[in-house]
Amino acid sequence: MDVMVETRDLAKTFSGDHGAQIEAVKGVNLEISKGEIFSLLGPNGAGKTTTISMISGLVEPTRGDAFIGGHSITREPLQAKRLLGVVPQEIALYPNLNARQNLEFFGRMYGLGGEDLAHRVDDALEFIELTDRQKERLSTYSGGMKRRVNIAAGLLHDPQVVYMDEPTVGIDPQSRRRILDTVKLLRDQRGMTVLYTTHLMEEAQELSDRVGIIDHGEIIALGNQGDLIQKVGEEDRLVFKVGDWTPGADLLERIQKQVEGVTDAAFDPAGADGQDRANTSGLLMITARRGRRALPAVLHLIEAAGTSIQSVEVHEPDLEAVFLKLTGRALRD
Amino acid sequence: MTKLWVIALKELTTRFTDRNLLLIMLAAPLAISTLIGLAFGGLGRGGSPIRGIPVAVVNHDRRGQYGVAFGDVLLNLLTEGTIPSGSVPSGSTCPQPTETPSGNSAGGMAVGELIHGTVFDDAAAQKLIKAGTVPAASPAIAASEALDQAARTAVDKGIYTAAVIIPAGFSSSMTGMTNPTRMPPSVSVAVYGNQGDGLSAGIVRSVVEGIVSQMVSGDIAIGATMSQLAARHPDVLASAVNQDFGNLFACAFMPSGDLVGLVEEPVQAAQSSIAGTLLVTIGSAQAMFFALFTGQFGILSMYEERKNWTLQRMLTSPTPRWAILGGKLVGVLASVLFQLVALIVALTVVGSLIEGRPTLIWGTNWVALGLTVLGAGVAVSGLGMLLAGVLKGIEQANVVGSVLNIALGVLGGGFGFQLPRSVSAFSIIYWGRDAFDQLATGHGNVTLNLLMLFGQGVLMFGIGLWLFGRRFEA
Repeated sequence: MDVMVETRDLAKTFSGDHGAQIEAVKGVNLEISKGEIFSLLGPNGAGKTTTISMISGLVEPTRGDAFIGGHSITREPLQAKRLLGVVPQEIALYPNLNARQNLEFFGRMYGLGGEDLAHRVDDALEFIELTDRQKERLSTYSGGMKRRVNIAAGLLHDPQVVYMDEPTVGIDPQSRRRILDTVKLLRDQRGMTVLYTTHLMEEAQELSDRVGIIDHGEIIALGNQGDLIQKVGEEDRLVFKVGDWTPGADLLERIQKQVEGVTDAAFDPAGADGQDRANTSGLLMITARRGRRALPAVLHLIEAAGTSIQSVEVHEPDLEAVFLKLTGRALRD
Repeated sequence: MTKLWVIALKELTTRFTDRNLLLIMLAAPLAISTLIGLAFGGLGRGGSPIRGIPVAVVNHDRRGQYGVAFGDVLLNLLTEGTIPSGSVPSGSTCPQPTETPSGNSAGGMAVGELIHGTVFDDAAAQKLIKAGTVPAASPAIAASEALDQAARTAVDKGIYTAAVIIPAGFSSSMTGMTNPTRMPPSVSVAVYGNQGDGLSAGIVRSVVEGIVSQMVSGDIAIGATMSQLAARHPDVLASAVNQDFGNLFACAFMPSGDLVGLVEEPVQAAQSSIAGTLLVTIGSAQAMFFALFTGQFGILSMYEERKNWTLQRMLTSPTPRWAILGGKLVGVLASVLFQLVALIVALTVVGSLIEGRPTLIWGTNWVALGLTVLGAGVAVSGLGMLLAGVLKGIEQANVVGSVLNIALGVLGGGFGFQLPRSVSAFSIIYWGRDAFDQLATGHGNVTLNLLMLFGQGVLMFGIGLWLFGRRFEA
């Protein structure tokens, strides 16, 4: 299969305070095939944005290179960019201009003009169902409508690769559904390659042909969902809400040793001390093969330690579990 | 290159579709200038705050042909607000104007109210020398020159706002124009203004110009009449006595008379009213003051575009960086120029409405006017680029840029008062305003102003671009 996006030893080092060198991306190697939806996942500060910025030509790599349709983004940036469409997370449009003016402007930035541009804008407006409101200022649109125009502006020149950065942030479920369907249509009908980033694991699961997980500037996992889940051992996660109570290290050790199938036991305290500051309760997290079978024994040990459990959740293996296992953090962190 | 123009056009479109921005760019300076122009110059007969401008009048003139003393006419108009007795040959009877005369007025106010003229003769000069205010002149220089020097020094010291120096041979020069075969040497009335009070000095200049131009207009008309009379009826001319012509001249040259109707030309070559002077002075300073904001925030909107990700969207398109920056700059410069031109046109309309007739208040030197507008645009855009290079973002620019603009406005005379030139010359507003003032009076040399505007603009632009390029990353 043709490779549409490729990175070779892509790296970026920034100069920090007092001359310190911060290696944000440490030599990323990726290959994304034509017609593939590839999701790049990573917690904040993992190097995801820097990687994407280098691929799209916004930031110059310190080392290595990225290729779009075989064109180097550092040596042939204009040719590479012609093949790339960008749909940023922000509504990157001019609020004083109407939808048509915005689309025409960004179309011209891709070298479109004349009747071809007019037709493409007509088609795009029809596709996003805003033909009747095309002459109204963007500032009068709802969030969902703006986001649809935002997507159309990135697709107007019919790119071979489209990068979508959290395109469903801040919109209603109906608009979100429509956008996800659009992404699939782009792949299925137009054969576009989609590079997708999201904080919503269910979106990544629904859309992605393959997923790359980046942390500390490195790709730590790469493959389809089945591959990744297998990689972490198809284990269930049991999450116990325990309120203000903090278990001793001996309890965690006992659970791990005495309950059959348990492979890991960890505690995430409530509030500022924990990984998720928004947590109002301490979370006791147990990883186990056949988690439901291990549940009664774990419950017994916790209650024997002298606390009452507020709630219990059993998570089947999914990308979230993979992400948590590999990065030690939830995707929303 | 096409994309550069597309971006520039987008800049103009986004700018001129923003109602708030339009309010700042056009409506505010127009409203402020018009209000000040109306309050100070147009409507306030007897109520204007500008009155009694102290002026020293030095008169070296003597009676010329036909016995008319034009120097005395001018001197008395400036000191007393009336035509002096004795300047017109005895027995003169002037025909009455067919319409109600406007009086010895300038912009709706009597000259006597507006200008407080003082005869500056040897006695007045000696008084100042004795008081130690003015140094005694070197004995080597002529007495008349010493008198002029003393008057100028008195102006520099702030005793007078302006000195009007009527040269010897003024009357001869005026009446001599009627006889083309014996043209006397050309002389001109000098108006020496205090540079620290350009507004009042400009008004004095306008008033003097108005009176003298009316005298010249009358002179030309009388000359033409006499030529025609001599050609058609030599017998009548031969029988006429000089006294009759003296009478004719005296009446024609009265600023209140309409015997010679040339003062009612539909378009004036240079503004000659207080309202016009004020509109030019305050309007140009206001236009430049508000253009500073347009220039600065236009270029600094690059940060806004980065924040909104529209810049990144452009950068991820196959558009070279130079085209993006160039388009932005061309768009900003075009916005500033459009703003300045729009204000100039609008203030011309306002000036004409105040005057009650079409009045080119900015003068008629179109090339110099165009260059001044361009220079002003380059200067304010250059300052915007410099700030974009120095400041760290739009928030900082809002504070620092606004404070700086207000400071430049105060220094440059954008708020209705003027500081000494030694201070105001630090403001680009001064160089623009001064150029517009000079062009409006019709005989100013604005080369230095243009050099300052273009020079400062290009220099600031270069430094700003260099700093901006070093610091700015998407």
